[in-house]
Amino acid sequence: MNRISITALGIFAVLASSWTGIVLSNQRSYGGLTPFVDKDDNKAYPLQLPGLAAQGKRVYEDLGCAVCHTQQVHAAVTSTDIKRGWGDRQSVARDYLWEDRVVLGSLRAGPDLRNVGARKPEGDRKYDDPAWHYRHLYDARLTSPGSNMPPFPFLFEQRKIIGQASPKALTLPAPYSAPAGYEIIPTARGEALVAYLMNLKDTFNYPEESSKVYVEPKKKEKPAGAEHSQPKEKK
Amino acid sequence: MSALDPKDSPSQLERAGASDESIHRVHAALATNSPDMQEGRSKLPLVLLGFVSVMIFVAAIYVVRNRGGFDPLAQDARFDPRLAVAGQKAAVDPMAEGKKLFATCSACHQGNGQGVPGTFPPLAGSEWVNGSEERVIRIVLSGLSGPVTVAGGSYNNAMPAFGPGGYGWSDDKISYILTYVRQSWGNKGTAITPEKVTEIRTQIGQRKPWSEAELQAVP
Amino acid sequence: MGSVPRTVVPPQPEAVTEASRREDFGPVDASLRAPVVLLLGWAAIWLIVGLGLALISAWKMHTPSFLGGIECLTLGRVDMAANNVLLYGWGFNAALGLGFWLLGRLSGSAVRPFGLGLVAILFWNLAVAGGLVGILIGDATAIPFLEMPSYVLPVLLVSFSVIGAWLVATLRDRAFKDIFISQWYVIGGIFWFAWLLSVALLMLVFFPVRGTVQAIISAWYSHGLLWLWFGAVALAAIYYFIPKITGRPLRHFYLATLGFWSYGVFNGWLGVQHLVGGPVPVWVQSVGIAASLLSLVAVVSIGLTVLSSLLRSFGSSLSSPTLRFITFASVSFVVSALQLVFTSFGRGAALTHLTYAEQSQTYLTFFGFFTMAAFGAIYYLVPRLAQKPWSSAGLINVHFVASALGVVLVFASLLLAGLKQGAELQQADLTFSTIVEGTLPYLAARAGGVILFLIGQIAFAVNLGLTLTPTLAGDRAALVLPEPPELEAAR
Repeated sequence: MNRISITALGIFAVLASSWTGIVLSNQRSYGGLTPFVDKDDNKAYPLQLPGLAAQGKRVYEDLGCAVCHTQQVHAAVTSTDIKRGWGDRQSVARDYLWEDRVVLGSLRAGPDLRNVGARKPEGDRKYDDPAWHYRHLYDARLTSPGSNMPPFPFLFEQRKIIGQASPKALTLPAPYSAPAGYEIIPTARGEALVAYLMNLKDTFNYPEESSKVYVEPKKKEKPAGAEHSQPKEKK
Repeated sequence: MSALDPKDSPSQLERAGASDESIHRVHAALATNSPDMQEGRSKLPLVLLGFVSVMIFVAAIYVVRNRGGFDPLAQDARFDPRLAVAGQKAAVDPMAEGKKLFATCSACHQGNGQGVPGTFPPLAGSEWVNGSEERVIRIVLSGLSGPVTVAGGSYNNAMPAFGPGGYGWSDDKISYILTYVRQSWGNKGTAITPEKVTEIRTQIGQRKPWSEAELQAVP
Repeated sequence: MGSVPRTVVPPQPEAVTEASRREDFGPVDASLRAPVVLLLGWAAIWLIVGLGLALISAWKMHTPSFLGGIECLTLGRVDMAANNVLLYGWGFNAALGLGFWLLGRLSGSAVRPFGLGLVAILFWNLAVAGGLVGILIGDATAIPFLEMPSYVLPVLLVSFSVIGAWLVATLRDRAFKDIFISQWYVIGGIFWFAWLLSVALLMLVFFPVRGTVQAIISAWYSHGLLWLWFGAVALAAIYYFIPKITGRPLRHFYLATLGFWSYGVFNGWLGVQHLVGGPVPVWVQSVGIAASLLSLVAVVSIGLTVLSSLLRSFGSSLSSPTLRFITFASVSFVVSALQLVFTSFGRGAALTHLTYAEQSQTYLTFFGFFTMAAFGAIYYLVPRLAQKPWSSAGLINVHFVASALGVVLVFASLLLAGLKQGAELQQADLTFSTIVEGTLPYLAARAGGVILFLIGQIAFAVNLGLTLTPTLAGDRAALVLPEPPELEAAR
């Protein structure tokens, strides 16, 4: 490898191949994906996050939630995500259309959060109740014993009750509860984060994506009287 | 003077086993396989060539079989666009879809389909829900207003239209919600197909909400 | 760079041979002293800082109340900070220092003095410091392995380009007519990383692309960072130090070219195998799996050469600190590359995707493979820069044993945690909290491994400080070393 120009060209070509083949080709093919407009209710899906929730996404990113939580629901054939109630369907590319930072995550130290805003309550885990999320963020041990999620008390503040207690005040059991005359309420960042979590739901079924499924090739008609049974269809 | 002290261990000062110049020279010759520097080339290159060919073959076959038509929206590896039927959809479970849609209806008819006595009729055990397909489809398409008797109780309210002129739900959606309602909370009605909804909608078009008398005229 | 007089005799056959036979190789090593000592000093500092952060993060994973209520030390931020400091602080400084040594020695002529390059090194490290603070105060970008805030990232690219140009210039100024494979690995790595970082800055940070194309680019970048930069420099060190210390040529060296090109090509196409099952086009996932299969060609070509050469000289592999570290690195390379292949498809993927097992693979690549190779090289080159032997042999042993055991413990505990997690996730009736509880003992073991590794690095940093301080104070007696022998030409 003594010829510098040939080797230099090779070094260039080596990365050019994957840059073209993976980066550029995908950007060209679906980097321009647009929302789908549902004729029935005239809404463009995916829905955009309302303002407070969009701020909450920034809180999610800067606190590093993506270190332990994923936001990608996998299909039923390869995973138990849907059985666990983490989503109704597999996440598709279009779901992430509006996100200026796609945080798919790479580790499930905690459950997948893609549809946490649409999760049905399970026992005393009231995922549809913002109060549950506030308690969970204040200290995860309050709602999920044995959890190793870090506590986020800095998303809340303790302040003196003036007049009436705030409707946003958390009801916490001892020893977490505020001293008499004080209440614990979420800060703006805390509210934004919970608003973001409550808005995480991908429930729309895009017709185009739903149509791109595996179709069994048509089998030839077996003559009547054929004895052997059909092999079980592979899911 | 900092040579290695006899007390020091040799690991404190690694000795070079070869000069850089000789490393260059010897390896340059090895890389080009010059005849006076041959090293065990008998079997290995052929075996390696075979291995490389097999890996390329395996990788190529894998990509071809799992390319999903190179479609950017395909996520099922076995998807083949040549076999896809135009407009075909993934199998939808009407009960699951209907359950999601029922959130809208539960505003009045309540989550358990019991309704509110005197105000909103129940769906559970309702003869209108369990009875004729023709009638129940019409109710959802165009709405129902005025006095009506349901399961022995009297009601006088206005149900909005979910078909044309109202919420504008598709025939699929109406078929799912009706299937769900007709088979939940102990109801034993038949499933409603989208085609049936289409047929009736084409027949009646857009019209004002039905009254009890008009519906009873329908078989 | 102006008209700086070259400090080496113009290449004439006798002069080159004469100069190269002298081990002390005065002009080259003297020219390398400034950049390499600066780089290694920073590298050692960031190694300790980064591992401290990594320990805090590892501890919090099983004891979340540890330093629990402090916002700038919350688990997510500390973890992101630890990764970035270790990658861009320790990793880059060590790799560039290594790169200077390899390119300088293998070019046979002194490296040009380049004040701007030294300034660039300083700016790189200021950017890393700024990035560390930025992540902890809440400006992280949330891009995996590129979490430093957007206000420091361009500084990284500019500094790297300047330092990279300085390194590539050694090729032009070289005295030896041949170019050894190690030089190509380093130069390739420089070019590849500059491209990777530029694309990441443009398409992810400053003009983010729409949708999950971001995930694809991010995967391409992370994999390229680890394998096309750190892995390439590590291989350069491995290919050089094996013949250098053992005194015998590499076996099956005709595979080197095949190894280099297959390594470069297929690692560019990897990264996306982590996205199998995710919201990206299925053909991309399949291509990632195919690339991982094809990367076996690179593993076999490189592994065969490296491992058989080390095995042949097993005696010196054990006694020489450099070779001990290089051997560990070579084995880690093969294990990590094979793990990548077997966890990209089928049952292996189902058990390891999105679990701690994927982290174990990244960990082994960066610490077991790159970091250990860098240590091996450092043990060889520091005495020649400081012109004195290492201060303590005991600390060298402590460093090796603690590092090796630490890496193995962290890798094994993460892998086992991941496999258990993956197997249990496949059972839908097992609640998630049960799965979490099952991983806690392994996470505690992992924290133990990090402590062990950190102990080793403290020993290393102390030894490095003791050895280099006289140099920095200006006291430099010339090291007397005998001429190195010729490389054995025959097998």
